This record gives sequence, structure tokens and C-alpha cells, in this order.
Amino acid sequence: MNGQPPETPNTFKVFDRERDHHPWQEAFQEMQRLDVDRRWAVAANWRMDHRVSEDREWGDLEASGHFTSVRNANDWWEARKNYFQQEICQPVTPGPTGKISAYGRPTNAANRIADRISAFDKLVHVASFSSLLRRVSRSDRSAEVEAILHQLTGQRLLSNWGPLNAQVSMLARAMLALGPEVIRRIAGLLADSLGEQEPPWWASFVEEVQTALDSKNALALCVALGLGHLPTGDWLLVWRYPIKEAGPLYRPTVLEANDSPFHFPSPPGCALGITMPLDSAQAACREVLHRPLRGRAAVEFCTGELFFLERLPVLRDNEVLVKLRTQHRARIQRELSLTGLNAWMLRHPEITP
Amino acid sequence: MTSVDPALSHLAESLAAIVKTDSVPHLRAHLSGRTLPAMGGDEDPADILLRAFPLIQTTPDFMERLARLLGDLISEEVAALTAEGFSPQQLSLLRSALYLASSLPAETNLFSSLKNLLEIPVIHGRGEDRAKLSLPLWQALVYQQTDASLEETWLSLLAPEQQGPSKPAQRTLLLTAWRGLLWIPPSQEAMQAEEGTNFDRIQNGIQTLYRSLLLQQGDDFGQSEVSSFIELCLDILQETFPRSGEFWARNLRSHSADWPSALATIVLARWPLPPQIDRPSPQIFSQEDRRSLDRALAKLAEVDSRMAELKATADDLVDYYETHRLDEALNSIAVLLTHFGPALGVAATRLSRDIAAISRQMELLRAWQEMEKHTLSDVPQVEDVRRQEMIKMIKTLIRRARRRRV
Repeated sequence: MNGQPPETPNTFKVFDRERDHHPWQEAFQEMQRLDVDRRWAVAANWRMDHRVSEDREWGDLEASGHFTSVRNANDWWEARKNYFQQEICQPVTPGPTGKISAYGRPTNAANRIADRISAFDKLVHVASFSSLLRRVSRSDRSAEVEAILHQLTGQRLLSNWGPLNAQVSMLARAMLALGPEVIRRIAGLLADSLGEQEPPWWASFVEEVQTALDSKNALALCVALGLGHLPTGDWLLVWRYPIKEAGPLYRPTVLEANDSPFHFPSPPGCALGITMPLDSAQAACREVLHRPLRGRAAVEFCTGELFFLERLPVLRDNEVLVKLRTQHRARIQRELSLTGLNAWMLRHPEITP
Repeated sequence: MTSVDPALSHLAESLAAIVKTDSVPHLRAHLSGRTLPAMGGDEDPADILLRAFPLIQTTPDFMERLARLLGDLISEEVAALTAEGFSPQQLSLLRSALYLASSLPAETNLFSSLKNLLEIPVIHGRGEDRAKLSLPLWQALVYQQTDASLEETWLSLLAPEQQGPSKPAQRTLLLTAWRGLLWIPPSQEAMQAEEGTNFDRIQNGIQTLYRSLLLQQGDDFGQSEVSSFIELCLDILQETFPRSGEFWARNLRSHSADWPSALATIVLARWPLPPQIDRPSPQIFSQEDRRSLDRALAKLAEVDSRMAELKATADDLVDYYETHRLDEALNSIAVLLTHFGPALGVAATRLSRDIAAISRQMELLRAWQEMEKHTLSDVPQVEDVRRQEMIKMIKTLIRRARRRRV
């Protein structure tokens, strides 16, 4: 029940806790409108996500200082971005600065997955190839990556970035022609070159997306894993690995989901995250967070495949997004019989057009 | 359902309006992330803006105007800098501004603002400002140059700073500086002469870079890595100035005489001449040719008191037999002719200079023609055994070489 009465859908809440005169109230009311920018979906998630504990809210989010002067929706949106960039995109073990990522801090201990999960079970992580290339091209190891890419494929990193372009595809096709070993090696190289600023990896269990993986179809993977943010024309890299390679697992929260409108918080009582597939006919998968793979593991557990995302149905219209969220709620209710589930849903009715 | 993301369409409209009204505050709001849509995917604000660019069609000079506006924004941020450096929000904003700058066409105002940012001491210090801004600033400067004012800066980045094992970050800076040097726009005079490629600058840069790499060799970065790195730099050169391999072979070889031999080898291997004129078949200079030439040289030596000098020159000729390099042979002949210039007259000196110039450019077929033309018509008919022997020797060589080529 999370300590909340089920019959109070109209009271202002943040992280599923009722608030009186909260500094974000005005900002969140502003973001309730179903505007074209889709911020309403992110704001709705922040209001309903019980997974952000009071410890994390006060000991981390408020203490970070990013949210101290929030007066309107734009202030809040910028503070959220800064929190993500400066508090989440950090190493999970103390680096030279001593700072660790917010999801690994003691204030987020409630989301560390304590359940014993068999070490032989396997996770899958899917990453945007162009996004990895872009990040690496801006890192201080870009020359090293470029030299090895050049040596292996005859291609180079892009040094300036526009929208997805033909050069990414040329590189991907060159890698495909050279085979899985080269793809693995380059995938590992990219993973190692991202430094400590890489956000945590989102991962699901392999068996739940086996059909999509077997299909070798990027669209099927995106639909199954709820990757609605990827642009058409992107390429996907895939890692499949035993849980023991991932280190401690965490239940994701809206704070790690950054600005994704395709995230939906898992309900109270659920020990893991749950994906929101991009198709109502798909089953939702369990999902977790963990530190990015590095070194040998990043090479060995890459599948050596690259999938081209030829076309992703545009799910970004508000009407479609609302429908997706509504169907996801129904899916969760069908599947789970958790105490307090209905009350949580009632406390956070879906915004309707 | 539409095929275009409505949030990106909305952003594109907003950007077009911002550029139309020259609104720095609105551009700042976008770049700081304040007014961007929910996209997901951990993208930087600059990357989200870039995704909207293809949807902007109503403003033909949009990119140039946006670049100018971005220059104003950066200037304002530089002016607001305090003694404590930039705030975390300013750092984040400036970094996004620099990412965007590196994707926009070069614009004078933006270039000027970036150079002002470069002058700020914190950029070169050790704090967070440097860590977050230094590399993005160099990367933006590469593509924003509108004049040659940074040439010395790029060269100083390429110059060896200190001896010791190379680190990945140092090599990234070297590669960025190399790109920076290549992206210096041509001067007005060069533009008028339609000379986009500055070979003096290129050879200066590549030699400086090579020396830096040699100084930074270590366990993880040895001679093989140095060679690979230089090859990558040559690839970037060809990407920056898309020209044929033959173009680079022809033009860089004429500059490569003074280069360190290992560097020259990498460059010449990267861009070999087309096979038909690069390396003539080994049969072109047979043992018979060699004996013929040796006899000619010996005869020349008999009548010439400068035996030692001639012998040394003749040794050069022997080398070409071993390598079967016709170009080297021609060079040697040119040298030989220079030595005999006083005896052969002014025409021989000119002939040797022409041969040397032609053979440096590897245009051997043309060289043969020139040699033949000169030997038949230009050299004065001086009754001198040395001249006669030389002419005979050259003609024989030409005739045999031609016959074998056919």
C-alpha cells in the first residue's frame, strides 16, 4: 500500500508520496498538459514512482543541489538533466574524484536487488551503435579508437556529428563484412573507451526476448524491450552475459530513466523493473540496472552482431503514447497480483487526451 | 500516426524562429536542455538539436545564422566568467555549445568567440573546466576556422612537448591538432589560384607530428603503432582533401626528400605510383645495360681527372641496378650530367635539372621523351668524348627501356 490511501488521485504526489506546497507542484501541473514535447509522461512517472525512497529523495536528489531553485517546468526539466548528467553518469565504484553514481550510493540501497538470482541466468543489453560512436568520438581516447577502427576496417570515427549519416552505416557494414570477431573487438573497444561517464546499463533476461534475438530483427528487439527512443537508421549492438559478469543489480527508477517517455515504473512490491513493450501484444520483460561491462567481458559477451533499425513505428504521438501506457497498465494488472497494485494505479490515473 | 516525430518537428520550428529573431536567450534555453522535448536515450542537448536540423527547410541560410548566434551565446558566457571559473550549469551549457559548433559550418563570429574562450586560463588549467571543455573546444575549433590564425597553435600542439610514453589522451590531442592544421582555410591568393591544399603546411605538420610520436614511444606505443598512427593521419588528409592517390603520390614525393626516411617510407607506401610508371620491370636494366654503362663510365673516367668524384657518382648508378628503380637511375644520370656540366656546356646543366625535376615527379615516360629531345637537339655538338659517350649511353638506355616496355 506504500502508506497511501487509494482514493486520493487528485492530491499532489511526488514519488507516490502526498505533498503539501511542494516546490515542484507548479512545474508538475504545467507538465500535466499533453503537449507535443511529451514531458507529461516523464512527470507522471516521477509522481508515481514509489521506488525513489525518502532516503534517496532527501539524501541524494535534494542534497545534490540541482533542484534548489525549481520554479517552473523548464527549471525542473533542466535540473533533471543536470542531475542525470552529473549524478547518474558517474562510476559505480569511487574514481579519482571519489564520486560514485547515484544509483550505487547508500541512499539507493532499497533498490539494490537482494533476491538471490542464479548466477548462470543470462542478461541481454542492447545499445545504439551510433550513440556509442558519438560518445567515444568526444572522449579523450578517440584517437586510440580511431586508429584501431582504421586498422581493422579502413574506416574512421566521425569527428563531427550531424543526424545519423551514411558513415555510421558504412562502418557497420564494413564490420559485418569482417565478421563477428571484429564486431566483438570493436564493441569491447567502444565500451572501454567511454570512460566513467557512461550511464548504467539497462538489461533484461535473455530468455524473455529469445524470440526477438533469434529473429535478428532490430525492430523486434526494440518492440520487446521498449526502446522507443531509437531513431530509424540506427544500428544495434547486443551483449548477452551471465549475471555474475554484471556485478550488483539494481531495480531501476525514474531517476535513471532520464527523459525517456517510454519508461513506466514497476509497481510496488515488484523487486525488479518491468519494460513497457512498444506493442500491447508483447509480454513485458523484467529489467535491471548494473555497471557497464568492460574489458574482456565487453568483448567476449558481445554477440558479434549488428542489427539495422530500418523502421521504428512512430509511437511518439501523445495519443499513441497514452494508449501504450494504458495497455501497459492493463498488462501489469493482468499479470501481477501484488498487494496494493490497484490502489497504486488508482492513485495515479493515466492522463487522457 | 505520422512518419516524423512531432516533438522534433516542433523543435525544428522553434529553432527556425530563434534564428529568425536572433534570440540568444531561446538558443541558450535549448542548449541547456530547459526547453527540449522528452526524447530518451541520454543524448546531449546538442545532439537533440541536430536531430531537428533536417526538418528545417524554410530558412536557407539557417546553419550560418545559427552559427553566428551560437558565437554570440559563447561570447556572453565568456563575459560572465567569474574568478571561480564556470558554474556546473555553465560548463554543461558550454560543452553542448561546443558540440554544436563542431557540426556547424565555419562562421567568423563563432570562430572569434571560440578563440576568446581559448584565451581563458581555466581552459588550460587542471580543474573540471579543463576536463570538460578543453577537448570539445579544440574539436570545435578544427571546423570553425575562417582564417589561418591558429596555424602556430596547431603546430605547437603537434610539437613534442616532452619525452615519455604516449598516453591515449595525448594522441587524441595530436590527431585533433592534425585535423586543425588541415582545416585551415586557404588564403585569398591561394583561393584565386584554386590551390586548396597547402603542401608546405602539410609536410611541416606531418614531420612535427612524426617527431612527437617518436619521442612518445613506449611499451604500448612502438614503431608499429607510430606507423599506424601516421597512416591514419594520411587517411584523414585524404578525407579532408578528397584527391586521388596519384595526386598525393605526385605532390608529396616532391616534398618528401627532406623527411626522415621512415616517415617517407610510410607516405610513399601509402600512395605508390600507378604500377605502369612506378617500378619498371626489372628486365629494363639488364646485365648488358649495366656492363654498357660501366664501360661508358670507365671510358669517361679515363679522360677525366676528377676520377674520385665520378666514381662516387657511378656508385649511385650501381645502386639503381640493384633496386631496378628507373627514377633513381634518372636522378643519378642527372647528377652525373651536373658534374660534367662545364665540359658539356650550359645545355647539359639545363638538361640535368630538367631530368632531375621530371624524375622527382616520377613522370618517367615524359622524362624519357625530354631526355631524348634534349640529347638530340639541345646539347651543343661539342667535339668531346665525354659528351658523346654520355649521349650514347642515355640513348641506348632509352631505346632498350622502351623496347622492353612495349
